[in-house]
Amino acid sequence: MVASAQNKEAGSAAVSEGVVQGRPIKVVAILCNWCSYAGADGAGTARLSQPHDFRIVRVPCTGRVDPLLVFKAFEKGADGVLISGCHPGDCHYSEGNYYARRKFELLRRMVPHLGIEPERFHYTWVSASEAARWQEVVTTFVTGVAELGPREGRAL
Amino acid sequence: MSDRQAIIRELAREALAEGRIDCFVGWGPGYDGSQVIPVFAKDAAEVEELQWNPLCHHNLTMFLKRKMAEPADARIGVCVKGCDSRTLVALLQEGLVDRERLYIVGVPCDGVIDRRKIDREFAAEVVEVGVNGDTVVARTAAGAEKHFDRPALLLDQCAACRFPNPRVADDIAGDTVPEPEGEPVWPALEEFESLSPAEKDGLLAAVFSSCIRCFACIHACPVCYCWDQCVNRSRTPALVGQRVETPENLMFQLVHIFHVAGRCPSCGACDRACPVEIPLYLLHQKMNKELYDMLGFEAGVNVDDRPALQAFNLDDPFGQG
Amino acid sequence: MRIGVFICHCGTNIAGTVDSRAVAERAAELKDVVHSEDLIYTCAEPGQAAIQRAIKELGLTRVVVAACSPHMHEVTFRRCVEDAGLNPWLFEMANIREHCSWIHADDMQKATDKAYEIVKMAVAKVRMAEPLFSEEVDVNKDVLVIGGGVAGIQTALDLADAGLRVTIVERQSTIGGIMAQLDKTFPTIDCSACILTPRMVDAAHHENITIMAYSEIDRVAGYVGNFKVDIRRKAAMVDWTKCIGCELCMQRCPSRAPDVFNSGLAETKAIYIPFPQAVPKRAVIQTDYCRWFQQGKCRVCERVCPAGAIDYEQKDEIVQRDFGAVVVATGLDVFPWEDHYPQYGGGEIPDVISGLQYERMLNASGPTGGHVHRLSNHEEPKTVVFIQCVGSRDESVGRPYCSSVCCMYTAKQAILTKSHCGMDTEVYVFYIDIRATGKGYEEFVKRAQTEFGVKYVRGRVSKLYEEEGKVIVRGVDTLLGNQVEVPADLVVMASGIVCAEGAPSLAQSLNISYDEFGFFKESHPKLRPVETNTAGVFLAGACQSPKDIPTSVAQASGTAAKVLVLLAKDKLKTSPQIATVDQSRCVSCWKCIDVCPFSAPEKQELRDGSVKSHVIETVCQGCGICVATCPVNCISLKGFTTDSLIDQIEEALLT
Repeated sequence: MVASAQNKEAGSAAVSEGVVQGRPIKVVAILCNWCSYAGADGAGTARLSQPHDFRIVRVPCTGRVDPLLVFKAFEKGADGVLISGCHPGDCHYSEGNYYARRKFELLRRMVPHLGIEPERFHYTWVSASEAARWQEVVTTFVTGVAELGPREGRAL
Repeated sequence: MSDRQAIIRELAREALAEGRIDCFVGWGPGYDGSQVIPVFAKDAAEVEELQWNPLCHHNLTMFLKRKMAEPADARIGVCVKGCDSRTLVALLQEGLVDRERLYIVGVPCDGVIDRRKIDREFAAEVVEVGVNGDTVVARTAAGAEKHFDRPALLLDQCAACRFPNPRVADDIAGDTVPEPEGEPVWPALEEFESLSPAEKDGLLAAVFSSCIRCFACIHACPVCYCWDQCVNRSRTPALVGQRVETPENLMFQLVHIFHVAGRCPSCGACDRACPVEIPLYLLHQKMNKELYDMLGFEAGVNVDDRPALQAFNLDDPFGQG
Repeated sequence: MRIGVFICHCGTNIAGTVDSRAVAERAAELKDVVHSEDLIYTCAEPGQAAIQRAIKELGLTRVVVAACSPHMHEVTFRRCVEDAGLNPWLFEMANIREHCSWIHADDMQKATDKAYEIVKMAVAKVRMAEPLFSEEVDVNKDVLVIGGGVAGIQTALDLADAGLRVTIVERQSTIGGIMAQLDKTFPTIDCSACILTPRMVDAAHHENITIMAYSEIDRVAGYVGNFKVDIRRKAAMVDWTKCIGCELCMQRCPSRAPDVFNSGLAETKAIYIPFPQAVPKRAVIQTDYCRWFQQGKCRVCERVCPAGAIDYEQKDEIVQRDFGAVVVATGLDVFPWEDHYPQYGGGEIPDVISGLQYERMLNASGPTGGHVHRLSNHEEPKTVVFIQCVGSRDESVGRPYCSSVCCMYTAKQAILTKSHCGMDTEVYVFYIDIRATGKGYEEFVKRAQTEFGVKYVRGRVSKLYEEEGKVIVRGVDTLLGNQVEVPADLVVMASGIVCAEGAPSLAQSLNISYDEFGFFKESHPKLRPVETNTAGVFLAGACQSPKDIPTSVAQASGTAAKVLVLLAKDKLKTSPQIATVDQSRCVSCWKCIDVCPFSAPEKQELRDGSVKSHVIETVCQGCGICVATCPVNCISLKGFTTDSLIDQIEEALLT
């Protein structure tokens, strides 16, 4: 995929503005192997700059992701958790992300009621061909979490 | 209302006498005059002990899976209020109870008493509670007595009850009661919802610091059937560790909440069982409200439904981002 | 635990931004890491040789390669470590190129720190890895084809030619399906029976094909490579080993019955052979219309049959057969427009007929000998009107989809009308759009208009009613903006395609999915159109979605190819990254069975009488939905266990 100069610039701008000057944070990004992980690969191939402060965990399908894993990540010190999978309808295993969609929506709604700012959790769908979208998604999310700073929760 | 008690006894007596069931699970006299406990009547004499009154808060369906398992062909009769019957529906949805071996006596209900609301008014232990129409009289061993207005003593969930009549039953003990119409309301959540995430964090940290991981909530929950295999007890996967500290305690409860999500019929048994009074009902209600807002889904209402998280619609109206 | 870590430079792709040597030095300090080195090009021969040498000389039990994306070279390195004697699943890749060096070109220190953390996560994951082994399962190479229409026949012939034994199970007493009922086919106006019947005969005579006609699928058990199928051979009341298809019984039978083959335009007899070119050509008694079965009288057929083939005592018979793969080719049915369009007369107006009925009328072997005439007075029509999209593209009758073939068959029937009834016959087609996407299709429709003078009116028809011996077609011409009324002698509904009767229940017995219209669900609409989510069950033809004959035939051959891929080996090797149940903890709630899209978990009775879940290794695709659903968390997904995910997360979050 050919990188557009515009995208590269946009990525670098975000990196130099919000995140580098923000306090250090740690974001966990759970990506499904077939779509989003490949989309992130595509973003790499296109040399699209992204913030540093996230780490990717690969799963075969978003259907594999138990909402409790997200809470576990927060408990272990994650400042933000991002999940991305195939667009509903395109799941490599046909139905995994349909189940996931319901679980993640419930999770998204419950997160603030467990004392965690809602901006610290996000789920979305990035396909293998959406490299630029991955750059945008991860940059927006990590920047948003950086603005909130490290999470200081006492409950979880 | 005492008609219902007579009818329950009549139905249980007949079912046992005709050999349609081996055992009838109902409510009966407790340890003292202030309580009612679950009883298992096997003959006419034991049937005479069965009671029905506003102290009958227990969700008797929690005995079903065990009672039905041993012996494997046992036929069980059970009393269910409206909220209890939702549990039964949830269990039937998942095929966890054998409908053929069940004799369900549905009991239309206009609310049960929250013991904590009585106990808080006394310094000593209450040993007797009498209900006479809308008046409730509570007495300690020493003779201290207070009168209460019954409606004020009801469990919080009774105020918002949408299913006072059983959703599934073979026989109904008496006349049905009027069913509220319209959308569900969630009065118990108003205060909680007005807090910011930081305030909620503080509240949860405070209440969950008391949790002693006694598992009472899990044992009391009628849709919790993993028992000894509960992942909260297991070292693998390591979702919950062995340290009894606030984040792990909350994680423990989150495991319970998310495992019953889509199946929890808001019976409140977990809340009533908690020895340190953690507001578990609040958290479960919050989850149920979110599910309702997402999908219009209420657990345990129609036997043909599937629990919300074990199903999906191609056009589920969220997750567009 | 002896972990070896190899950090790639990838030339300057990684090393230009990430200090690979520094990462290798830091990784050497990690717990259990006994060897850590950096390599310029790990995937190249020298790089792979270095890994293999380290495994052998240092007795490495786990290997991490930090380089490009696993999508690039995971397979390469698994093979590499396997060749050195290490189980290939004790290997993990850390993506420090696409996910690090290539996106953090701005800051070398930060990029290097991140690369190190990614390596740490991979080390944490590989520490938890267990050796995994593929299973091998024997495979039965016989194939079952359900449905003997053109698609089923095509798949069967391809597979049989490839040397596999195929059984076609066909519900009707003859194969051929809908195509046998067609007169001509578009766009060539080939005689349908002429091109189909040789295929039917080929199938009947092929040494590798067994046709079980007048039979249905009763029960399917087993799984890919090992299906056990109960086939119900329905009682025809005629001994087919004796019947010679002479049709004498049909001639003499006094009882009438509806003629399904002629789409209700005529009647047949209670004992019948559907059409003269039927394969197999054997008689069947429809007991609902037979005097002997209904009233205890007659038995004429028995008396006249020269072969003594009539057997009134026959019963349904269930036979069991084993197959390695199943192809579903159950075809289609015609939308019952009479039940849904009261505004078109609801079937009460005699001169309003369906597309398939008109097809039978046009056919020289049909009930009218190929003469087109009005049903009301048997006169040849002067004006024929075709209405497209009846039961298609119509939300109001619950059929929003396009049936794909109607524009073309209407054009064909319009052309044939002109040639049967004369060029001066007025022929109108009311349409919404023209879908003529195949080879030669657009030209064909144009011919209908320009060469044959068929008048195409863009607009829907709101009402049909009888008046003074005509059928008034009231519609609209949207291009001219006028309401139009055509007094027609004959009106033909381009009735749409629906799934074959009973499709949903067949789908359930095969454990395949179907949509709200009963069309079977393919595994992936773009990339796997002939497979289903049930391993070993494939689709061919219109049962998957409405389509024309060339598409059905093409798909059917594609299906045959997929079946051949499956059955090319004697044993099926399974991917070991699958779910497995710890039966000592399973509480038999069956949620896993409920949610698995592939029907991989099954109930398994253990020796102590308890019933626990068990994942069929050959069927599991490794998605992990069951893992996230199991409340006990006793199902683990090899290679992606929950503990390994927690460990990776923990490692990532350590400061």
